[in-house]
Amino acid sequence: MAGSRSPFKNPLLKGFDERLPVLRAVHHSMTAHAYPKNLNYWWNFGSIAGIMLMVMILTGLFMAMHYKPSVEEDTYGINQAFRSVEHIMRDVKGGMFLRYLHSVGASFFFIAVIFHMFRGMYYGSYKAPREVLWILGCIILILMMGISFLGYSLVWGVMSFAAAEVITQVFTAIPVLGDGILVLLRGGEDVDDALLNRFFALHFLLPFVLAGVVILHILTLQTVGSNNPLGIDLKSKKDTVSFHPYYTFKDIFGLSVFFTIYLAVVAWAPERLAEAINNQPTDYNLPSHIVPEWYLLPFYAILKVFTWDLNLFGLVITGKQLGALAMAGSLGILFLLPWLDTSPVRSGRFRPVFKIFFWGFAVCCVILALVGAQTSGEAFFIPTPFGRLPLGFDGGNGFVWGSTQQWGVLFTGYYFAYFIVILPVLGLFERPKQLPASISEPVLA
Amino acid sequence: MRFGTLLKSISAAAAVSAAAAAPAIAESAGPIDAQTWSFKGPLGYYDEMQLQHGLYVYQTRCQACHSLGLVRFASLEGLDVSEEALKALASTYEIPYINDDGDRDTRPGVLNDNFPWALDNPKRAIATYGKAPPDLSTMARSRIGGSDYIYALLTGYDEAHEQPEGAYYNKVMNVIKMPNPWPADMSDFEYPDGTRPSLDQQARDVTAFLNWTADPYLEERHQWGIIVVLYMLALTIISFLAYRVVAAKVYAKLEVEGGPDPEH
Repeated sequence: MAGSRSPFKNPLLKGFDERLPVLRAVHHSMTAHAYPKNLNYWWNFGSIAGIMLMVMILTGLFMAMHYKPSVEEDTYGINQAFRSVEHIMRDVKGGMFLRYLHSVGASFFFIAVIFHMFRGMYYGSYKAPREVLWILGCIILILMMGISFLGYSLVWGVMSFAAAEVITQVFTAIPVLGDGILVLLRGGEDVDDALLNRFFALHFLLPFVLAGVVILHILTLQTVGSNNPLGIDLKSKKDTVSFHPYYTFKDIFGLSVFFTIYLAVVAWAPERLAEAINNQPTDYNLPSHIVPEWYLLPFYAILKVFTWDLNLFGLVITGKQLGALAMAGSLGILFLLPWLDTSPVRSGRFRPVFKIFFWGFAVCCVILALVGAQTSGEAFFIPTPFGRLPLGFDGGNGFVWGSTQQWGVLFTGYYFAYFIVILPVLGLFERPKQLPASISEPVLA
Repeated sequence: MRFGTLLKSISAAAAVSAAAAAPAIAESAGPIDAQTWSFKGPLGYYDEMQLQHGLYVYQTRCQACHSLGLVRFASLEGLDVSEEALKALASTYEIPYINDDGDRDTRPGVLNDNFPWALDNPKRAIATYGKAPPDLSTMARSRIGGSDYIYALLTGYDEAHEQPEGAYYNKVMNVIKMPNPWPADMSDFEYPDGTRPSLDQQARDVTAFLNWTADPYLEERHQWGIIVVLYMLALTIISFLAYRVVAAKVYAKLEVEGGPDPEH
């Protein structure tokens, strides 16, 4: 690249580029790389997620200029952290918009990433040669979950305290090291000032680590190239376009649609996706019903459904340890996905049986989210605009048929079975449909 | 994947996630009926006269126990009250402070002060009532149902119902520590402007006021939303048309010379 000539005609651009060749690097990546010409709208979510990361970093930066990570309470019993968040909302010019762009933005960042990941899972984007690309994506997801949890805690409302208390407690499930990790996370035994200060420091730092991983993710993408809806390799120049102008314009359009919805939620329902009770400063009592933010619900469900101990020939694994193991496993298994799926065909479009199980997996994640939101021992239901659709009933004697916990165990089972049983076995027995010879062929034929 | 299908998926996902969040926190015992409020809906706004009435109800019925620790007197200009009137209002409150001799003292409030708390601090509140009456600044944001919840609670007392020991019956919570704020006889009660509100009207007015204390920039956000969403819709249409034009050119070029070399 350094040896190549500057592609710019404008003398100012050309002169600058000849002295510092960053512009030609950008130009090169936008025009010289071959992208499949048939990417559909599901491929928009990657760039949308990237833009959302920038929105989060910028709004967060300006809020950090006004936020105070202190649990000290004033004479109203309101802690300084909570007060400073309200100060941003009430006294800082445009602060209410900053805060809601950030808090609603977290939800929409997750929406973009969730669509992005499910697209990858449907079209087999994780398969060779894109294993590293997929793994970097999994690291991004885990970083996002951590960062959003840290950010949620900073408000120091009722749910912030509950989240900090309960989630740090999960680490004590680790034998021997658990208690040490707890102290390290909290900066002491208790959920207190030390915890809030280190959560703020980490919530500021980790997004830049995330941005670093995103850059690696994009570098990997440019090396191995995009997958496409047909899941077949690029064969000739007939199959390809450069990123600019085709995908820049397509992405701007997709981004416009996404941002219209995002900004409408900021304007008219900024609290709709959040827990109302967190708008009250914490009094250090755990609320009777603790739920995390919606995007963490499926994993929270997997954490909480294990209520019994497992006795392995005298080695007792407690329910709490099982839950923590299962939650860690539910994330860890995503890293193995490229090797668990044994089918040589990438795109779900040509895999009739896979399709059914894939949509089953999508439903599974929604059910687990509902399980995460509901009370374990009570009858499970599906909320609809017309009221509750009950999926359980009281069987008498205190036993509930179809309790939230039972549904949770069932779908936790499906979650793991999808990766450990269904995908490996399906690749061996499923008869995929005939693949087209090239991307251009179905268009030309 | 067609665009229409995609849009449906997005809105469906949003609905699912919203629904997932909703049942998680609905814990209240009684029914909370949706009421009509001027500030609901995409064009929702505050009725300043109602907010002023609500402030008066707050002063007469709430502030003996509850605080508005996040609300500055100066911010009440949002109620369409003049600066002079606000200064006068602020000066009627006693603000605790430490004087130049180092002694605890009180001074008249100024615009930059928050509403003081009659109970002064949480310890005294707990010593007096056993439980600190919550600060009301963000109450309309911190309960499911928001203003509907507050209205239902304020109008939910039933003296005819059996009263729990050391507490009161309220249809929203069954057992509530907070006494009924409404005296039995309110025939003499009137607003400073002379109007005589019903109990129901007072409950609505103070609820509207508490919605304002929790969300004082709601009108700005709604106006911002309309401009921003109209702008985004226009941008969406223009960017779609631009994309179609670019796509047609790229396809035409693709037929002739192809794109970048995939082996590159």
